[in-house]
This record gives sequence, structure tokens and C-alpha cells, in this order.
Amino acid sequence: MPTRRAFAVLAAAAALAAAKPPAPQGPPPADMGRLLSVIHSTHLYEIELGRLAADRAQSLRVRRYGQRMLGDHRIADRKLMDLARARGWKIESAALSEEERLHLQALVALPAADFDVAFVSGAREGHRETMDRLAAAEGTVTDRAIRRYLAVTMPILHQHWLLAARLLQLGSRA
Amino acid sequence: MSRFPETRRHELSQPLGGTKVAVGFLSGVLAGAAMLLFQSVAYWHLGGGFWVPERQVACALYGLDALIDPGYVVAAGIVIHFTTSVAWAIIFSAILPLGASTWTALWAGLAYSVGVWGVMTYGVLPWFNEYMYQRVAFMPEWNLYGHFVYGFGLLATPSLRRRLRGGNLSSRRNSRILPLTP
Repeated sequence: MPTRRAFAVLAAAAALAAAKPPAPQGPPPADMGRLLSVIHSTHLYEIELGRLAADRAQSLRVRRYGQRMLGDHRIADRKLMDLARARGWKIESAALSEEERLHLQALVALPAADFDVAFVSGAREGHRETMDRLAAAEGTVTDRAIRRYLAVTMPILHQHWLLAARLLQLGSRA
Repeated sequence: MSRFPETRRHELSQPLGGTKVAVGFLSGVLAGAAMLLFQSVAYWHLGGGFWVPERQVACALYGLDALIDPGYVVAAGIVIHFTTSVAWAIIFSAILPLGASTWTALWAGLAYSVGVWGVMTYGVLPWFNEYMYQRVAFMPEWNLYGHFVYGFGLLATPSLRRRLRGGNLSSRRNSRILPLTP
């Protein structure tokens, strides 16, 4: 019967359309693995910075900025890990670099009155460097999902940079 | 062929404009509250923060400062959100057919919510709230789920209509006999 045959063809077409290519297993390509590892460790570093600011900042605005950094980088890191997991890639969990560790220690050691300006200045510079790094990497990435991830994450980093500049302008006053 | 005119009892009185607006207002508040609560809990669960959705909406008024300003921006975001949800719900109340069941309203509401999502996300946000547009692009699926919750909430529309009109289809106060002549 034509109707039954039409249904069978439609069902087969739907099955073919729904079928996805199997995710590659194992580590990502060398260059992609380095990039993803760098992004992952950057997120972890920003999460620590945000947590520190949310706890130590004197100004309520800076505290909220820290919370924003903490929340947004948590979500971004989760999206990155989900993306990698969907592809069967394992991102190496990187510890903080020596420079990052020293920066965090320096912030912790600062007197309370000096914390806000130091934190916000560092956040502005740090986000600028991260944006430059990711913009350079974006041109070399061929994976569409990773390119899409970078494209939607960059505006969030830019917002963090703008907020840091705004806080410096306000003098980090509540 | 019968020459006798047939008569039927019709539910003729159309919901007054004021009733539609009232129904839309109430269903908009209910659906808007459900959507806002869902978004807030979702963002909190994902680690983003409970009041982030409200602050994002408030970026339309205060720019990026809404993400770090004091609590009044949260209140402003809530007001903007409910104003929008009520407006869309009034339109839904106006176009939902008279006598539609709750089941019909459920499916119509879900379909309507997809339209609302499309118009708001791609037609309104880029022009009036660029910062929220960027943040929604960062987490697009949760924005869509939130609108589904809104559409689901609109299923209260027929029930609210019945309550506000204070009767049912067979109420003599709300109907009259209309002779039908060929």
C-alpha cells in the first residue's frame, strides 16, 4: 500500500537523520587538547578569584562582581566539560600555574583596605589577556561546537572586563 | 427540507474586553511567576546565582551595572518581567477561542510560548537588552525551557475565564435564544 510504504520511507529517513556519528574516543587532538586544558584551567582560576572576592571584598559591588565571576565561570566550565564529554574527550585537569598561585596568595595577604582595587585591577588585566588568547585561538579551531562555545563565551568575558573597568571608574565604592 | 426555523441556545455573550484583559493579567502573573521561579532555581542550581535572571532583565534599564548594583535592580527586573509576561498573556487571552478547554489551552500555550521565545530572544533583546541577549546566548536552552514553563502556565486561562464570568455555558444570564433562519 502506498501509505504504508510512505510511512516506512519517512521512518527510515527520520532514523537516518537522527543517527549521529559515533563520538571519537580517547584524548582530543593535540592542539585541541592544549586549548581546552588552558580554557579549563583559566575557568578554575577565575572561579577561585571570584570566590576570594565574594568573601573578602569590602565593597558590595566588588563582592557581587566576584559572585558574577564565580557563577559565570562555573557555568562556562560546566559547558566546556559537557562538550568534551559528548565527544569522548578527557580534558586534563590542570593545577594552578605558579604565577596564578602567587597572585592568589598576594591577594589573600593584602590588607582589607587594599584588596578591592588590587582585585579589580587584576581582574581587568586578566580578562583582557584571556580574551586576546581566546581570540587568537578561535581562528585555529575547526571543530564547530568549540567555535560556537568560544563565540558565546567571549561576550561574557568582555562583560567581566567592562564591569572591572566600571568598578575602577567608580573607585570600588559600594 | 423543513421550513421550520430551528432555534438553538447559543453561548452568545462574548467575553467583554475588560474580562479578557483581567484574565490575561491574572494568567500572565501566574505564568510569569512560574517562569521566573523556574529560571531562578535553574541558575542557582547551575551555580550561576539565584537573582541572575532578574538582574539580566534589569540590564535593559541599567546596562551592565545591573549585574552588580544593589537590590533595587532585582525589583526593577521583576517589574519588567511581569509587565512583559502580562502583556503577552493578554494577547493570548484575546486570541484563545471562546470555550477552549484547559487541554486546548495547554497545547496552545506551549505553541504560543515558542513564538514568544522567538520574538523576545531574536526580535526584542538584541535591540533593547544587548547584555541579556549575550547572556541568553551563553545558556540558550534554559531560556527556552523557561518559556515552556510560561506557556504551560497559560493553561489557567480558560479556568480563569469561567471564574471571572461567574457562570457556565448553560447559564441563562449569559445566553439567549437565537432563531436561525436559512
